Amino acid sequence: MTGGLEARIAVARGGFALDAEFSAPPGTTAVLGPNGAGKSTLVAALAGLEPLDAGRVSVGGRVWEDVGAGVRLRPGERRIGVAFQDARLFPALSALDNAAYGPRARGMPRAQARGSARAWLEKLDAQHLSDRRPAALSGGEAQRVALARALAAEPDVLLLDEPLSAQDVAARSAARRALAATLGDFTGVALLVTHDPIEALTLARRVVVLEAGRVVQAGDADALRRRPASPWVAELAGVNLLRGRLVPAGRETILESGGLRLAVLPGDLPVGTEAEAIVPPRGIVLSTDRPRSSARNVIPGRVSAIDLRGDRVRVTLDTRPPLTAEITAESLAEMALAEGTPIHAVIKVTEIEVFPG
Amino acid sequence: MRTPRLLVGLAVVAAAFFALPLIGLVAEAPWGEAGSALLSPQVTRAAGLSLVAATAAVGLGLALGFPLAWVLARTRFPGRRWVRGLVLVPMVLPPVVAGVGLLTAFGRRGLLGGSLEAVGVTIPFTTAAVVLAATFVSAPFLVVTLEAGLAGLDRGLEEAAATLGASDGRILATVVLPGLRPSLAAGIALAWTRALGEFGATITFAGNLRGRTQTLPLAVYELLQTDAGVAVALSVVLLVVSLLAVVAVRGGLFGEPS
Amino acid sequence: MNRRGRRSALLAAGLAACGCREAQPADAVVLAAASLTEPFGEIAAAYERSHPGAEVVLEFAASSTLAAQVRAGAPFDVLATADERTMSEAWRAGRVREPATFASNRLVVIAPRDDPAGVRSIEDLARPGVAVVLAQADVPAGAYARRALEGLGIAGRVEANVVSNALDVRAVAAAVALGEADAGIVYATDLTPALRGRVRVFPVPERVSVRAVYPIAVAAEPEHPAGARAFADFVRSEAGRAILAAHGFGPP
Repeated sequence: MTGGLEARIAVARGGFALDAEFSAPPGTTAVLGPNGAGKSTLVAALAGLEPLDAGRVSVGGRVWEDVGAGVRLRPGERRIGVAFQDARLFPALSALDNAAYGPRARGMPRAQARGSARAWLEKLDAQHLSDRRPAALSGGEAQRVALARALAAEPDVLLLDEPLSAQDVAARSAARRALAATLGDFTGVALLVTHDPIEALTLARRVVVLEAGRVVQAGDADALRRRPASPWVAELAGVNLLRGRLVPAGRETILESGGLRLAVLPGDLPVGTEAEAIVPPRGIVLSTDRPRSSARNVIPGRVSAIDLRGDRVRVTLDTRPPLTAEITAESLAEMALAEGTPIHAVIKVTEIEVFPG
Repeated sequence: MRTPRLLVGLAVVAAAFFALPLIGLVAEAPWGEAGSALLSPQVTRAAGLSLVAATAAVGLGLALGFPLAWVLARTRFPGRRWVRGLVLVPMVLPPVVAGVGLLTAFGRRGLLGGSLEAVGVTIPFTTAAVVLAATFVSAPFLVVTLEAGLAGLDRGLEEAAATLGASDGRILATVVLPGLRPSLAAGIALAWTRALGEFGATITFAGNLRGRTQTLPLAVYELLQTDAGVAVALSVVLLVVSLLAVVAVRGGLFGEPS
Repeated sequence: MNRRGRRSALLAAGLAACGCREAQPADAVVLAAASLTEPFGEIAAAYERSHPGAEVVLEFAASSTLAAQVRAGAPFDVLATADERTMSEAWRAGRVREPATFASNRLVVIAPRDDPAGVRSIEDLARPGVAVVLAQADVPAGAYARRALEGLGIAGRVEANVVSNALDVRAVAAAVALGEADAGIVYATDLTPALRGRVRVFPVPERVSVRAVYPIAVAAEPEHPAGARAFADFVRSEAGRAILAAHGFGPP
């Protein structure tokens, strides 16, 4: 059990300057940023692969790097487990021996290290890959083995660099759920570095937003949504994130979130548990009448806010919790929407992605 | 682009160019009579000496060449280009010139040899000189292939190993060296066969004495003046051994097939 | 192969290849023992002066090497060796016409000028620990040297001291000149001004002194028949003998 991560990182490499200050308590914190924001540099700096120009990094009071004091721990001394975006599995070793590499490097006897590795692969549902070489693994399988390898080293800090990037879209939600479960069991500080806001919002409580080498905002998802610090944050804040509970209703499952009752496909989530749902703004159709259609979810409300962005418009309803839809400026004009206009939000069940809460 | 027939034709001619000397040797060799001569003490001693010296030369070449290749591949320092050039010089130097150079360095009056002589260590005309001469001409092959191999390694793997707590020694053994296996194989094949065939530097620096410094190429030269048939047969043996060495090591026996 | 010989051979090949020079009837390709390097260089120059337009190409190497080349069919006009054994190899292979001796030579013992092993006479070569270089046994200089040593009864002990069997007599001289060997046996004629400055010279005793005999022969199938005959005759002429004598060679 460790304390939190405190980081003040300044690194300038090849025309790019990263100057970020943030903290991360035990649990999962997402570092979210568009491509080019400096995420890879941040990963390298935290892992000890890139020396800081200035700043300080400490975990649970233990100083990893302090430029002023001349302290710099080597990567191996930091007890950091990194799951790199490109997996970086050792090609000459089997998946099992890859996962066992960390314990072996710290002196554990081979049989014991392999046993530990096997357990971790099993936890990540990758034990059937044990004897395969990395060349025989798909991108997603390799990332899973890389994660097992990082965890098997029993690190104080887990650093995940775009952990789901190799998953194809169809498998992504299942992979996200599995990752959420794994992160739930991890007692140290887990830093999830990603460009995907959905990943950040569903896997982490805290989000640190990184743009052009600087932290523009840090806080939980609601804080981001309430007061976005930049257009990009606002963009991702527009994602509808609903928290509630799954309840049965005849043959359907309903997510009860605040005053909303949405029909959802719960997948393998058990009824009666806490759950979260994501509804992308683009997935919501607005209708002035109550339509008769295949959509299971038709929610009445009034327009509470209109946000014009060129030829797209974000329309927020006064439901509780609020729902934000994205429509074209033309539709806005045609429907003559304004604040207070009564409107229906139509949401297809298949547009709603559900997660464990 | 498809392979034009002209190109294929020229390739066949080139292959023939390389194959004809071997075919000629095999055809010329008087296998019947030469058979027993090939087992004479002179030949077997020369063969034993050559095999041991070539292998020792490769060992010494690796010990000297690996650190040098590492520094050339992974560090920057002024004059790096010149150091690399210096290492390549033995490959293009006429072997006799290399031999004379070795004498001026390690001979009894040489730069280093003079001091060694004073403490009773003589290098020229010894088996050690055979190994030194062979190392000098063959080590560059090791340096070149190892440097290329090192430069082409995925550093990300080494970084991953570092984050998992591996010491530099463990990273070298478990990540770097396995990644170098194809380059090592190629370099060792070339260096060993080059060392085996060395003549000019050997005769100049180590001399020619049966059992001590007469390697197979020197034995062939001597036999050419007394019993040309045996010389031809021995040449075939040398050629076949070199061919096998190159094919075996490059063909996957010790590493990735290429 | 002597550097000048190789250069000449390459030059001839190059010229022939580019067709820049037409072969003259008086041209000659001459293969000569290493010990004949200096005198034959001068003889060739004198020959070219008296046969305007002619060009002599020289190759110098151990006589045994030359005999091997000739037996293998190398093209040449004149062969001059340092002993009769190597010439008879060429003769038995049918490559040369009747040979005739044209010069003789004596052996001497040489040691480096700064005298690292205290060599004072030929007997010192038998002293344990002395590093001796001789020419290979089937090179004339090596054969002559061993015969002399046998005559003195020290052949076995000297053989035990041999650290290298050089490919030709000039390589023996080089090893001693460079100080890498303590002693060697070469021809008296090998004592060029350049070598003399770097070595001490000791005689081989008269009673075992071997007289090296040099035969010369024209090729059975010469490249340039007229030039072959003309050059061989020139070597044996008064002019040729004078040059040989000036370099220390004895009469045939």
